[in-house]
Amino acid sequence: MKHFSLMIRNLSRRPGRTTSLILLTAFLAISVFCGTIVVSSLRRGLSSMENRLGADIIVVPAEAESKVSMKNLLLQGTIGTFYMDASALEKVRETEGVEKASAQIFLSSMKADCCSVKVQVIGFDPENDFVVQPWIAESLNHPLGDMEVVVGCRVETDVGNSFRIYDKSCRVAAKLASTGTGLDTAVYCNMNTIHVLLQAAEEKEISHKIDSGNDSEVVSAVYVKVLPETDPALVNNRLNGHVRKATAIRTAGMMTEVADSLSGVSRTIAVLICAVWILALIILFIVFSMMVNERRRELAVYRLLGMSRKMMSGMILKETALCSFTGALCGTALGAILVFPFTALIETSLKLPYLTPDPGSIVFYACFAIAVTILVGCAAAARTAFRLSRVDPGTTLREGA
Amino acid sequence: MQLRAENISRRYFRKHGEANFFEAVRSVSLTLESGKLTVLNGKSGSGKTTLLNMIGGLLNPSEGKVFLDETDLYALEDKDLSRLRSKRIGVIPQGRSAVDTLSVYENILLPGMLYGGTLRTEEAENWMTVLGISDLRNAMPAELSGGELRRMAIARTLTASPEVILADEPTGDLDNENTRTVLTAFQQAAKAGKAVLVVSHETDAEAYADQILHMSHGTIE
Amino acid sequence: MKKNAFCGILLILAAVIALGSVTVLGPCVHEDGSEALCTGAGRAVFWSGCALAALAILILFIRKHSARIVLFFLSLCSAAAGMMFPGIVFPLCRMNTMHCRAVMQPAMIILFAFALIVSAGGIIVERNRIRRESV
Repeated sequence: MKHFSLMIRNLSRRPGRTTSLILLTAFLAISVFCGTIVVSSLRRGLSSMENRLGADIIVVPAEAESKVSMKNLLLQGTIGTFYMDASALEKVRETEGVEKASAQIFLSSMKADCCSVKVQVIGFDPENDFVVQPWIAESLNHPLGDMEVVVGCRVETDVGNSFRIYDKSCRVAAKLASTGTGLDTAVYCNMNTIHVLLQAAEEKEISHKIDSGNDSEVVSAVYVKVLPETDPALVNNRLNGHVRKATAIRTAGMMTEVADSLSGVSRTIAVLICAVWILALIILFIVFSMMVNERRRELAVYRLLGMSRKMMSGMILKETALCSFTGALCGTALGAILVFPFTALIETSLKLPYLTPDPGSIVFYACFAIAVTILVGCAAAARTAFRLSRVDPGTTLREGA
Repeated sequence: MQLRAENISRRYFRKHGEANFFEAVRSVSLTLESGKLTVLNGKSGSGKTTLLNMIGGLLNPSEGKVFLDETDLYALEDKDLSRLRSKRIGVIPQGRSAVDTLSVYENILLPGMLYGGTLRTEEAENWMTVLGISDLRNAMPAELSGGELRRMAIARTLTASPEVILADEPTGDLDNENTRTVLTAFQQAAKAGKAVLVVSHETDAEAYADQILHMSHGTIE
Repeated sequence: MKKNAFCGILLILAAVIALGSVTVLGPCVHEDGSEALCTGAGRAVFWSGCALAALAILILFIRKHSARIVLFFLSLCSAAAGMMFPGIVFPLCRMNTMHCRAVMQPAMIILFAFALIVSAGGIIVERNRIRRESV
């Protein structure tokens, strides 16, 4: 206890030195904590996207890719409205190697009363859907009824509220869990509802340009699951040849593209963290080297009064650990303030699936950042502690007496 | 209690000069006994401080041994020697020996803080009053004069009440009145059963001594 | 200098809030120039920032500790209100990815929370000064 109070006095009466140590270690902790959270959020986002996608191939109208990138549609919620003849679904089902096929119809809401911007409305067929339903089932325990919608987690409305799209009122039946992708900003309904909404859009003379004539005979995309042990690339080629005016896109390619971007971002973050660490370590070593001369006389007094070498090294390391702990705690708290409230901003800036880790993992990463920072602080101080513990009190106290 | 040095020498190596080493202390034997105040005088550079550091357990002799009763100081591990020094040997060095981040009072109580136990607050108050620094108890070392710092170091050692007190030029920064006060305090300590060694190049201390030793060119004459 | 440290920090925070709310930390802007749902929240935040700045300037020039306590208390209330303006008192756009929700709301909550802590700190310091002077 007396040692501890001695340590506290040493630290509090050298505010400049103590503050600079705390600031440096806080800087280290911020970089570790924020870097780890961002990278793990990106990894979690990618794995969530893989889990949610469920399809091996997506068939869209040939002109769709020129309108909007499917990757952006999925990742950033970019509005995409494109249609093809509903017969495409049957043609897909007829194709060899296709196990399941399910159609979806996209519609972009106008400035619906829900929002100040457009949202993507996605109509799916509950009878043969295998893409959206398993995911919706986590939040909804009954089949989605007519004029009922399920909203993504980023659409700010609550279950039970009514939701107006093209002056048609829809009831919010469920709100989905976060996926970290653009699907979080979409609204889901069944085919009957989407047809009502398409009709309403036409009545409002909102041109969605349904070239195929009757809106009940259109689909926007067909999601395909290939038979087990069938090469999706082969089926993809067959679909491109078999379904006219349509393009089949392999989701694996899309995922690879996303994974590549993710590893690029992860690498950049890792390089940045390394740079911060190298810089901070150099500064820490300089600070501690300067401390050798500054504290030589003080520690010679301790030695003179009977402090052993081990006790002196211990005291320096404990002081450093205390400063590093304070810095790490402040840094982690500041990092949390920077990284969590601005999740949406980070997500939209990185343009990659981003899903914040669960609270347990966050606590683990925080503890990891604190532990690593304390370890690094102590490692930087170890050489100084060793050198100072070798101080010869007789000679030192005579110098400049 | 007896502090005994047997044929201790200390050689320093020189990088420059004709000889590649010089002997600061040459085969010195000396005994300090409890209840006696010994004064060691000699010219500057005669090896007094080196000898004091060696018998105080701070500087390993190149040759010879130092015994506190039957304990060979330099045969001990650093941990045990440090603990022994803390409890039984008090050294008052020549230069400034204050911890700048602690107040005068905290500096005086510092030896008691290192290994736990009760703090000798009453003794601290007493020696601060005797040495005339009681009004400086909350002052920081940076605010003190050389003489005040010296009295603080003396008060610290006397408060810790070790069996052996080794003082290196303790009256160097002091005026006549304070010199008398300090030397009287050392005499009292010796009468109380301590073994006191005062190293000085002045003759003031000799009047208080039970034993006077003279050192010249690294040897005691 | 030390005496005015708290109102100095408060003034800097107020300036960041007020200037931020009309620049990078402001509400959403529609391409067609029309008002977004969150425009009201943006305005409220701006005026809260101005009120905080005015209070901080007043504190700088007032020497009397009791009056400084009252002003710090008023700034504490303004900061607390400011925290609640975006999203609770005034509506924001309904999509979490929109600028008002992704940037303005978290940034303003953090800045107002700091202002609140600084105001509380100012009250404590001024109270201690009164106590010390009365001894």
